[in-house]
Amino acid sequence: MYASLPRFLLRRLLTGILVLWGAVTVTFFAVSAAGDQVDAILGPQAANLPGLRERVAAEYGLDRPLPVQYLDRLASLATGDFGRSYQRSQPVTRLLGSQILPTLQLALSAALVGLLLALIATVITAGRGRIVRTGTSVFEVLAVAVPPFWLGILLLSLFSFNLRWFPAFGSHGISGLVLPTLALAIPLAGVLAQVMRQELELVEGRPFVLSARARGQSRLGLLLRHTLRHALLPATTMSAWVLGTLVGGAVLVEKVFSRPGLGTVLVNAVQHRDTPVVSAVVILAALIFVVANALADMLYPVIDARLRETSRA
Amino acid sequence: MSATTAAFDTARPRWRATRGSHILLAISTLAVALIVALLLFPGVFAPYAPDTNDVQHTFSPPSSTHYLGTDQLGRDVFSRLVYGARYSVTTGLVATAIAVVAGSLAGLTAAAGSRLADALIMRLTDVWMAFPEVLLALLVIALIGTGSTQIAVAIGVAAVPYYGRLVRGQALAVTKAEYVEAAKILGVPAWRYVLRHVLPNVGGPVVVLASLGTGSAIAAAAGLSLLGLGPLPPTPEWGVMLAEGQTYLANAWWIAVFPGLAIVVVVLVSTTLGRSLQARSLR
Amino acid sequence: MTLVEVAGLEVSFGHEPPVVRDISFTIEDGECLALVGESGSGKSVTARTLLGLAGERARVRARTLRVGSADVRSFSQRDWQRLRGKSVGMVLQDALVSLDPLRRIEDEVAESIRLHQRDSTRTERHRRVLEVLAEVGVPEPELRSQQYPHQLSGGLRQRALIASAVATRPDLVIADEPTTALDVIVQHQILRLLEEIKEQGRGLLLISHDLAVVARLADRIAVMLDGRIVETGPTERIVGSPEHPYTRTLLDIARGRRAQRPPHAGGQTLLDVDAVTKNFGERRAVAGVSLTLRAGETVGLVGESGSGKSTLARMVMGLTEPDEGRILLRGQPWSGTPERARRVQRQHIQLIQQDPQAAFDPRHTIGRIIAEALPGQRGARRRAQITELLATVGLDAHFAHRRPHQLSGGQRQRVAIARAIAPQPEVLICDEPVSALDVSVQAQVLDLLSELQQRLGIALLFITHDLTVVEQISDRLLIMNNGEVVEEGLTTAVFDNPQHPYTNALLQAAPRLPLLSATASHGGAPEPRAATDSYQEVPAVTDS
Repeated sequence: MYASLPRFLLRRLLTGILVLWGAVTVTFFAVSAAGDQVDAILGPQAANLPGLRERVAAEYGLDRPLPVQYLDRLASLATGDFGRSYQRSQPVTRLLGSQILPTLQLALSAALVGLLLALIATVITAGRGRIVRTGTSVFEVLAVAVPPFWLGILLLSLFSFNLRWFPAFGSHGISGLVLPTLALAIPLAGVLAQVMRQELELVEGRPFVLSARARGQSRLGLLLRHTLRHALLPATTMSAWVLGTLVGGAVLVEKVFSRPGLGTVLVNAVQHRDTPVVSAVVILAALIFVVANALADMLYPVIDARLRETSRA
Repeated sequence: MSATTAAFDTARPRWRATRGSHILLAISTLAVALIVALLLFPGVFAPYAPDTNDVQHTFSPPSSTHYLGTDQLGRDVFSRLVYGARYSVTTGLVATAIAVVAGSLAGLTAAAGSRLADALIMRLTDVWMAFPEVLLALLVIALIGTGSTQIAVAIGVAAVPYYGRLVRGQALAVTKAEYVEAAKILGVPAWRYVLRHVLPNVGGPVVVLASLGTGSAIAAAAGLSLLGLGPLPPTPEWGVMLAEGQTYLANAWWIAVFPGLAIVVVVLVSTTLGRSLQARSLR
Repeated sequence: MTLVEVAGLEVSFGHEPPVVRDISFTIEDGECLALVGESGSGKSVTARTLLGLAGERARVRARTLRVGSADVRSFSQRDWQRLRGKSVGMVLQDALVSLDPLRRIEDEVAESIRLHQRDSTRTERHRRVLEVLAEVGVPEPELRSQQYPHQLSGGLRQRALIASAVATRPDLVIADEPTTALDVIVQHQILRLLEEIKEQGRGLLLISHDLAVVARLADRIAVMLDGRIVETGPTERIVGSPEHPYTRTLLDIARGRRAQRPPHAGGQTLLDVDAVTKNFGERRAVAGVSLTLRAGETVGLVGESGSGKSTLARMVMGLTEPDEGRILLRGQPWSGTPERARRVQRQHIQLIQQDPQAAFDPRHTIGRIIAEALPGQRGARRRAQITELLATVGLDAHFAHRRPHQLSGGQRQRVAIARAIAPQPEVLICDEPVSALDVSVQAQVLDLLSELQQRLGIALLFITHDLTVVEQISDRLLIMNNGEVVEEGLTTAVFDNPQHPYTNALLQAAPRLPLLSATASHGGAPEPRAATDSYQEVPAVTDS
């Protein structure tokens, strides 16, 4: 279909790797600039024991020069080794391995539900009168302004404690996933619906819409055959950002719902300055971002033929 | 320009939008003034002290004596919210200020500096933006420790690339704008047209973004406090209040619900202000 | 058969005064009616009302409003959808934006077939798409139907748009400024295609601001001003003996009044462009162009978009450095000198651009914008100067307090002129200064420019794609094509006896009315037959 596709993909892959390498580098040097890691491992009280500092530094490889540590870090990350937790002194991969799935599950289901809610809102209100549009836009602004963690508390209070429809704690299969998903999905739906409707209104002013209507296209036909595709373009651009934000938001929502997941581990690690764990989560999130971005980049020219030739320049 | 566009203009007159945004601007400016008053003189608005325990009246629901009820120690929720604004709102403001200053410096350096500096800074913002803001803030807190100031720094650092991008883009667009070229054609020296045209036109959108960003910074700060990374419990910070109230959600919903509502209101004010400023600058 | 019958049509939006008032007309099959007027005259709204597309808030009233055989006043949304695209097809201005950029040509052309012949199969639709694309003169329809609008040239795109409007063989075609965005040569071809459509026995409602364009095609013309039809009649009568003063104005503009002044001999050379070349990567934008501009004269530089004329303007203004060649201003080096040295010279050469809105800082008032051109002046003296400059360009003193977006296009261009003449330049470069303006406003701005030139003795380099415009104003002409000057000479010589084939093509294609003597057009004397019957035979000019 388009000749430059392989080259385009290769370039995207390279940029992705570059961003990841940057993410690793930034976190590594930020951690080493923030102070002596041995203090973080030992805590203030144990630091005075003679010989202990040196032993711990040697154990974690912190006694070597910084460039060596950096190269070692790159090499071990390349093999999927994220180092060892200071606090639990076990490999970070094992610590996170069991926790990453519930978080991803929550983030993905929230992404799907959010997109679905936004699409429904857009389709229902598209082309309606001023009052309907103003009403929905007020609703959207509200949805965006509500922090997911508080929405979670509201939902808990209403559906778990008062109506007792859903369990208040833990992850009991699907029923335990409903409220946390909604808490994340509703603000997201607000953002997506705003972006899509803004684009939709912009596109509806374009002459080609008038052309289509002059051919006898109905309101729904116009939306499905023409304008909705345009509205999906900015939403596609945002998808990587959306996933990242959802992973971030999931940490808070998990705390509110006492769900297992990255949230509990991460907050614990932050409080104990367990930097290998925190860096690992941050780098994983960057990986998700890079992958999602690459997917969006591949999706973009499928929706918009004009972009298939951009690499010509 | 053309007959087509002119006809579309008649279909949607712009004065409507402008009038609406003027009203919104007035309302949100008023709300900002009110919030500032709360910050400066909480005692005028709060009927009780934020830390007065009243064991006789624990968990009393909202009433005329306690507008928003009392908590597990009998403290007045409304008064605590009023005093708590000092912590929550200020943290958001400081975070945004850090992001604006650092982002503007980075953006201007990228726009005005060499190609290498530009490329370096832009790639760095690419990397930066690959981290979700909350997680990046958590990393910063892991490095510098917990507390109100640390939270402000963490959120500010996480938001820097957004301002950096905006400032760079604006600065490049404005320096290429025809009105700057027009000044150049008139023989206006560079320093003068930068002062007269470039800076004000770059600054406008930054103010808009900062206004929008303050709201989400306040929400993010409350979220981090909810995780126990901010000030410690007796402090009437909104996120701390949320965390405390969540424990009693089953029998006293108001303790956790109202601090959240306060956050929503502040976020709404800041987005409305930002949007109406934006709408005004567009027309 | 009568296709459209309108009587007493009034359209208003909200509570504002109506934009269309008491309009009546009919269209028969095989006939072309043209609605002519400037933007805001209500002509597009009228056309859209025939399709029920005037807008959500539009209030439409009429004594009679019949489209096809139906009274559309009582039409429901569903009735409208059945009418649109089936009995009436619509063609809009610029196909790049009037065709959905995300869909293939085939999808767009087939859309009305799909909607109105619901039992048609995919293969039938495909066959019909290829057929209709071939009918409208799209070569290789099989290939083109699978492409997207952005992959087609402007002319092909416009043909595809027309194909999408006639795919269901509607009785009536409404064409709203169908050629406005096109270069003159393509414009000519599209007009010929529309004539073919008319000859097939369809009715054609043509909307345009340009009398010269419609005169080729229309059987009858209705001239609209402020929502009313001020004059209507057979094309020959309207062109030959217009009754309403506004029609006469439009005719004068369409004819291009030849400036009644002797060719300027020119004084000392102010601007000397010597064989300049500019490349953008592989592309050669300007290739070895030379020109001179002497004190007090006007040189017209004509070329279509992409001919390199704007790049040349930027080099002349010292905003872009030429790759080869050099430019002298008032005998001193201008290109290749540092900005510091150029700055003191800049007051001698000023620029007027196409879009004055972009050239003004949106945050500043008009007063501040003009004051920027008056350095070292303060207070009352500066205010007086601003007032004087505004008066020079025909604007009231209170404009000083307005902001750019509060002004009309013509007013903005006047402000741009005021700012440009403020430093008392000797050379004024005008880059498409009127092409964004309505035709009657164009005439006013051009009048202002030539008046100022006569009074202040400024040398003008007038860059445009519009031959009508330069003919009025310039002493000498340069024709640019693909970065090169292909022809150069006195304006009359170029118009009367073009040497280069490209110039010839430009002149042939330009929509022009035969130039009449001033008495004929204003006095209503008998009219030599207008060029309505055979537009192929465009008289290239003129008396002199």
